[in-house]
Amino acid sequence: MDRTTPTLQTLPVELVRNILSYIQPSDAVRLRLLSTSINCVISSKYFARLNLLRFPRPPVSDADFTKEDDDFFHLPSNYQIVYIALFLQNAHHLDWKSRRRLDTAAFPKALGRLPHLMSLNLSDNLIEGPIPVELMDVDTLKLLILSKNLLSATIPVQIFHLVNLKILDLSYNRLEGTIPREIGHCTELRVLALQHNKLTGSIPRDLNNLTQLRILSLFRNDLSGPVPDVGALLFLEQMLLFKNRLSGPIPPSIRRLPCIQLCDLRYNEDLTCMADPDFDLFAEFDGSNGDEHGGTNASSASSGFGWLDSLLGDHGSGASRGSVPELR
Amino acid sequence: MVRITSSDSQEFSVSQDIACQSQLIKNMIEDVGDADEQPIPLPNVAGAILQKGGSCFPSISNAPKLTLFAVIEYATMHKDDPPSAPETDAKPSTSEDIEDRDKQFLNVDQGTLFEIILAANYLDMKSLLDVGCKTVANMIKGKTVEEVRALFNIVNDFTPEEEEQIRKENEWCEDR
Repeated sequence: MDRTTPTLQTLPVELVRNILSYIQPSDAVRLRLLSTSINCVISSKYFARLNLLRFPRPPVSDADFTKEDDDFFHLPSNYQIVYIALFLQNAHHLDWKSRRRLDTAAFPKALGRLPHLMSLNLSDNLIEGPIPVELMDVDTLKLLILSKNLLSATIPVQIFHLVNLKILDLSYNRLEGTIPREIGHCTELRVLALQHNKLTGSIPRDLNNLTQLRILSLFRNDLSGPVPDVGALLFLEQMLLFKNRLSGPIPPSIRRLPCIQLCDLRYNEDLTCMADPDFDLFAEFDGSNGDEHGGTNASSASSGFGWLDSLLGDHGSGASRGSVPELR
Repeated sequence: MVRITSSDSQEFSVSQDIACQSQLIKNMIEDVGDADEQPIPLPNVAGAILQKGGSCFPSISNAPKLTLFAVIEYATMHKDDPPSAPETDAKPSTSEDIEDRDKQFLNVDQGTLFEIILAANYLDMKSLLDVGCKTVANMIKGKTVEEVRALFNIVNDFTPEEEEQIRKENEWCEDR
């Protein structure tokens, strides 16, 4: 006999692929450590596809994330791409809040391939690294919540190509740089929450384009320059700019805002209100006509965010519930 | 009857319905018409395997260890199976659903098992290929990476940096 006994190593790649595809994805991925050739097999999209077809995502009533999808986050990118193509093509709402394990994960860029996605909540998952520009391809997005992660680098300008966004919450991360002027493109925004980051520079005047804005929350950053004129934001209910380094005159238009309930400009550098020496840096208002009644006790503005649930139209299955805004 | 010859020129004579469980043989017979004049050559399948181990097919005790023989044995065992639906793609299938008779049939040493898998692949016998691959998968399941390496004599050929990188990426699935 001139042929040697075959081993797992000498089998043709398609057979190794076939064998390994019967192993649960999370275990199969573990086997990457066996050898370079096996790592190569397991890291291909074709293997991921075969493997995921053998272990398909259990069908659920809607296309949303379930606990069955917990592994998705940590799977290598070849799996994530195939997973999305196979199982999540029709997903409208991915609510993946607080599903973290003890370790960090990179942002699953493959999420940028979901053609119908309207809401994405990845809050509180120890996601690190930059916000991928791939997200801008999901131009159906209305709600994007990435708060309470370890996201770093600057806010990609491309995010603001998502002109359908109604809620953008990037709070409690490590984002740096300035707030891009392009924010002014997102004229549908109701909630802009960028608090608790390391943002610098001045607040762009383009904010005044966001005429639907209800909540503007930029506190605990390192923003400088003047408080922008928000006189056009006729629906603005909360304006939280405290704990920054803002200075200069406060535009008097703030107190004339018809819907304002809470305005907090405290703990900044040197804010003055020329037109109104009595202007209180912290002010709660009791309703729609802007009657100020002092800012002594901090009984939280009883803001019923009822409008939040109706925000996403007929899909409003509580996707927003308990997610925004996380104030203080 | 159909005559087939292995790579080491051993000739086997099997009935057509058994031989045609191999899609390859079936196609050959269809292409050349009647096949009983000349034996069908199967240059990629050894008749006999040199074996060091002492295991044998329990169902055919005392028979020489022959890959082609074993494959014929399998085909005979399954000749009355309903034809499987044409399968164009992978579908949900676990490695747990192996019939007992197949388990017994594949209770052989590793080298023989891989020979059978290779033969099934070459002969295009999907059910045997699947059951063979599942059997190997079952050998891997539940073992650590080191145990799997030891089982299949796999050499760790990563550089320390590469290994570290994969370990880092795999942290999430290691401690489950």
